[in-house]
Amino acid sequence: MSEVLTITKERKEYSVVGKELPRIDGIDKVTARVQYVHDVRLPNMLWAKILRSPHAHAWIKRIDTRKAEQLPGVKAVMTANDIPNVMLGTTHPFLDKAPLARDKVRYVGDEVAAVAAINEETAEKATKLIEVEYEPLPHVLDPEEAMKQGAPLVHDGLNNNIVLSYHNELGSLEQGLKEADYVFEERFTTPQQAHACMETHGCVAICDKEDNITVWASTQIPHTFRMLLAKFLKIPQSKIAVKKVSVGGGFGGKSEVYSYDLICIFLAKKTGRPVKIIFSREEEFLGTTTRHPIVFELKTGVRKDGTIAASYIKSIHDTGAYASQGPGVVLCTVMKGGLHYRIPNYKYDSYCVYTNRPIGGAYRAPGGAQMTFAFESHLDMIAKKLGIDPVEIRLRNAVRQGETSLIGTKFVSCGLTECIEKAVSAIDWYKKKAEKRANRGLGIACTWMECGFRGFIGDTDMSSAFVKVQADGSVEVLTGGPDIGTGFQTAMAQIAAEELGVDYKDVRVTTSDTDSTPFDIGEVGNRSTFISGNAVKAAAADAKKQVLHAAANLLGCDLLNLESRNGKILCKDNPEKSMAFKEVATYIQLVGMGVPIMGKGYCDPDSTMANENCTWEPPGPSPTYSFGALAAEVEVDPETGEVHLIEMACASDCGFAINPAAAEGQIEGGIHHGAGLTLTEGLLFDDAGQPMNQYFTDYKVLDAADMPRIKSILVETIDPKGPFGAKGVSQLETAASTAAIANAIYDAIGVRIRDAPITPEKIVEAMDRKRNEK
Amino acid sequence: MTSRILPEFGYVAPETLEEATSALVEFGQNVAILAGGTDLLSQMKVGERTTKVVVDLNRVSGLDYISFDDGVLKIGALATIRQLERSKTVQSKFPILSEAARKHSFVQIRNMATVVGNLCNASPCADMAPPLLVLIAAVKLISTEGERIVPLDQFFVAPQQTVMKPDEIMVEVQIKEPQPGTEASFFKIGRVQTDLSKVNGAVKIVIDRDGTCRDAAIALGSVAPTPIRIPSAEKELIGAKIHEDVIDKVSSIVAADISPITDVRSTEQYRRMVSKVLVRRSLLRIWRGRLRS
Amino acid sequence: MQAMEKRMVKLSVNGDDYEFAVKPNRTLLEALNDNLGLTGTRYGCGTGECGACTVLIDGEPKQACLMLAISAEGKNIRTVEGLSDGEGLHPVQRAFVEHGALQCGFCTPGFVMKAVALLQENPHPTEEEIRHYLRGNLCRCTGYAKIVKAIADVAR
Repeated sequence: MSEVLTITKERKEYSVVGKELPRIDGIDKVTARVQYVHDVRLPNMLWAKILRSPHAHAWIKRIDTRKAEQLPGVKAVMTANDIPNVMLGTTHPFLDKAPLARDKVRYVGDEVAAVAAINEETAEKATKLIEVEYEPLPHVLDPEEAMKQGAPLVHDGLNNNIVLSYHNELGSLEQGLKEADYVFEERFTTPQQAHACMETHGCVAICDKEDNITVWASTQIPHTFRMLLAKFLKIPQSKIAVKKVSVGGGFGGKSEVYSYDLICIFLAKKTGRPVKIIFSREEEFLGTTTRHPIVFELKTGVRKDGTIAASYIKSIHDTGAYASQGPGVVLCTVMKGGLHYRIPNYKYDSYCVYTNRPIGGAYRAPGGAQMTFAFESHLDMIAKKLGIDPVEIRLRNAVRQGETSLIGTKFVSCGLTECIEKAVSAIDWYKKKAEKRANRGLGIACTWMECGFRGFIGDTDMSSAFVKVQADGSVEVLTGGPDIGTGFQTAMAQIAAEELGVDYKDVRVTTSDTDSTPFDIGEVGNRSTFISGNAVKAAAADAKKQVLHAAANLLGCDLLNLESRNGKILCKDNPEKSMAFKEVATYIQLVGMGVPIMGKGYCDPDSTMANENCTWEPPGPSPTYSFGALAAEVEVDPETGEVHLIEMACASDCGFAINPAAAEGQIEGGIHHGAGLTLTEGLLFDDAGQPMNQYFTDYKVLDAADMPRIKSILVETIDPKGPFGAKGVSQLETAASTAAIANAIYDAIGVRIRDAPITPEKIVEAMDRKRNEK
Repeated sequence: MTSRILPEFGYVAPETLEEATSALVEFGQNVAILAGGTDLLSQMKVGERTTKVVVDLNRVSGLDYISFDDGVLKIGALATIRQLERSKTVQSKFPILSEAARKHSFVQIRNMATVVGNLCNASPCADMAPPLLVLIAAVKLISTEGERIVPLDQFFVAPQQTVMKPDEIMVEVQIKEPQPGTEASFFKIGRVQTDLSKVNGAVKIVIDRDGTCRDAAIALGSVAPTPIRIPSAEKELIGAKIHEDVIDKVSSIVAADISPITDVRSTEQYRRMVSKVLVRRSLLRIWRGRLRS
Repeated sequence: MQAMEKRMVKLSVNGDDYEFAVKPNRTLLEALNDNLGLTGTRYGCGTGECGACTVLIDGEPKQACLMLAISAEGKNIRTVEGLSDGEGLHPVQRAFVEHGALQCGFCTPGFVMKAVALLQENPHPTEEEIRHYLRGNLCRCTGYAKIVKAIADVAR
């Protein structure tokens, strides 16, 4: 059983929500009955492969595809000249990516040509027969270098490599620093982490003779995907259908239209046959988006008691060769800052910079994970210098419910203080600190996360849903969200069942399919529990109304007197007058009335768009925010610098846990990514711009022997706007685990590493330096 | 070609060793032997190795033995690392080999990879090499011309290069039972628990009743172009009265006499430093264990 | 070269015999997916480093992506599709469902097969033994916590 702590009001006992019911997709997944895009096989299908640039930066002088075209079994070969002039991107006006490179390649992995053939092996052979003559150019792999005068220009026609920058001052930094008793400055960097989803990216597309397109895409955002495809292809959305596949992990890496999606569609159109692309693992590391490496320079003024008087944050985001979601991520970073603390003066300079590296995009706590690593490490260092307990300094600064940050984010519900206290007690913090075991250390970090982000596709953050009550009384929830494994379907089923008053077992969920489900932006930005959940709840309420209307007549009971609970509809003041929900449903549709029961609902929360100067009207880009604290215990080998994760305790303010087991699973998975970011992960390139770790051989992902035991505490603040009070949980744990581990390492052996990943090599070097300084 | 597709190759599955060696002669330079496949097939996929013909040894029966006769452990060409890990004989008489097997990669790979294959692949970080080197192992190579025994410390030439000729097959690893009183230990350090090593190695030491070291061998991998013995350190140990200072000195010699590089996994400085630490720890553990008993 | 052409192979998978033609360079993983339509054994990396293609060969867990299809002849191959007896779930599968030891499900068959092998060899492993045995199987969703709990539950 998960540990659940309800801190606001009494915890309501519901029939279905709040229960650890088994996942609705569990049996299908353990028996491998789900279908991923990898499994899609259609008659007459062709396989496609993409030829990618071997250079970090080069002119394309000449491409000769003749040999490839002549290989038996090859049905189409395409280069930039063979496809429509489409430019891809996520954020207007930064549409800077041609699906196939036109005159220039900008990173190792950039798409140059594509082949469709009768099988995968032939397609692969054909790509090797395409002759490309490159003229290599100087490249730049570091964002600070890329910002300098005279750096190689990644996109010609621009003045420099800066995609955009945000500069703002809220309050007065100068004044704040004057008021401070101490001012501390630090620099931090984070690596280019890859999602490394177990399912590599892929797509199957059909284009019929009337240019109707059907796509099976491994995506987190089926409806948005369709909308974006229509925009890029300049065709009506009604010409495109996105079909459901289960997605083998997303974490933000499957939340945009990629070049390969368009390439697949163009090949399908050209050949008149279904075309399938599946990425190899080495392609996955280069050809999909990554977590932005960020360089941070922090300057913080604190008072004697550790409260923050002023904060300055300079952040330089490496968005790689193309902008993708860079502009949005930069916004996330500055919105986060250290604003889970009360900060009266906040200045920032934030940059999104091109380099010749793989593309930076969205990745679980985008900007937030990196920001948390920097800020929470920094705060710990400040606490140490001031002689204040790291837990205490956080409690003193933590925001509380009802407050609004400088930047405009309103904390409608907030359990940060409780999260800190619970995480600390769950890991036995004070007892272990007193014991002071050699080479062991404890660290804590806290952070916060949005539940949705208005601006991802414009001035909306909506989800809608249908709830259909079938003729036999069973229920189908139709949601435009995806199945990427987070437990979304299960939560939606529980919400619908609770609202309707039916058995969880009688609810089925249909996701993703754009023909049958209504629009939902998708599963990004921690939005689904709150926004899609509210949509489903509203749709279920609408369906319930229709059922209750008929029941009122059948039972001779006033509508307002009716209640639907546990499969029964009954008169509240005369419970003997009751009918089975199923009976009423059958009556309405088959026996008595002949009317289908279809509830519809939507939710577009009261969040706001960013102002020009990157502030928000409250509540901010999200209707409410999640908070969390994570305590980590590590052991560091003082001679080898190896770090062993002993235990972690995470307290997450999730509002209300629709399914505590699923929420726990999200916490545990989030920690895995944060620990990887902090200890082992990151794409590496040599001086020639060549990738050094495109396989799991050298891109090290933690396995079961590396990961520690995790205690999760679900802190429920019962958000007034969330469905049954739910907010969501999934991303802040990734963010908080980074600095918690870094702080624990410092506590264990007294060295502070500011550049993630914190490898044994860096630890040992720092210890040597420390010894020599003495 | 890619991790999704193997390049094409001709495939031969001999049923006897004679057929196998004849196949090597027939197909000349561009031949590779398939045993476990965990190195060969993975390397072919990522383009690290190309071959025109694959000779699959798996149809030859009787090659998967681990036997102990007349004081000699014999490991056949198709004996897997998992077999080595599970063998009761090896656990009792050659525990360092069990230890090294247990720490090699993970279960699925151990079920497929062969001990012989680990040596023939000749990666500088081969996990089987250091323990077999300190146990003074030898390997038996056969061809259509005959057979020869090569001491393991003369076997490795360079990364992925050995003294084996293109027409030779390694059919056996031979290890004489160590003298009574031998203690040996294997160590390995990586970036995570399941990893190719940054440094791996083995120490073997025979300590007399009076605390003198009668015999010693130290071998390290991942710190030179091939797995290597460290004779300078061994010389320091042999004949010395074992003591913390001696162990310290020996470890320092090891650190000085290796030539690690900086690569994607680690740095030269770290490898040098951690080699010293791990050798010292192994020797200290053995010595302290001895003192207790 | 003649030897590069397709040849007939007979594979015994989940107790059934299948016969089809493959080129020598087809892996067992490809044969399972493409020739037999058994997609539960998955491509996660192709280089034997992620465990998504874990199958039981004569009861032992191995990586199908590093086995040639023609090499697998004469062996007893078991995939996730052959685990349950038809109606019910294998105890490992049931435990995974009950504990929520899966999220996206892509790595799940590999973990399930690995767990089946572990419990065959060691019916009552400790948590440490479970974690050690699970090494080499990667998951990006669960942090392994509930997978370990599910297996420990079956082991009790």
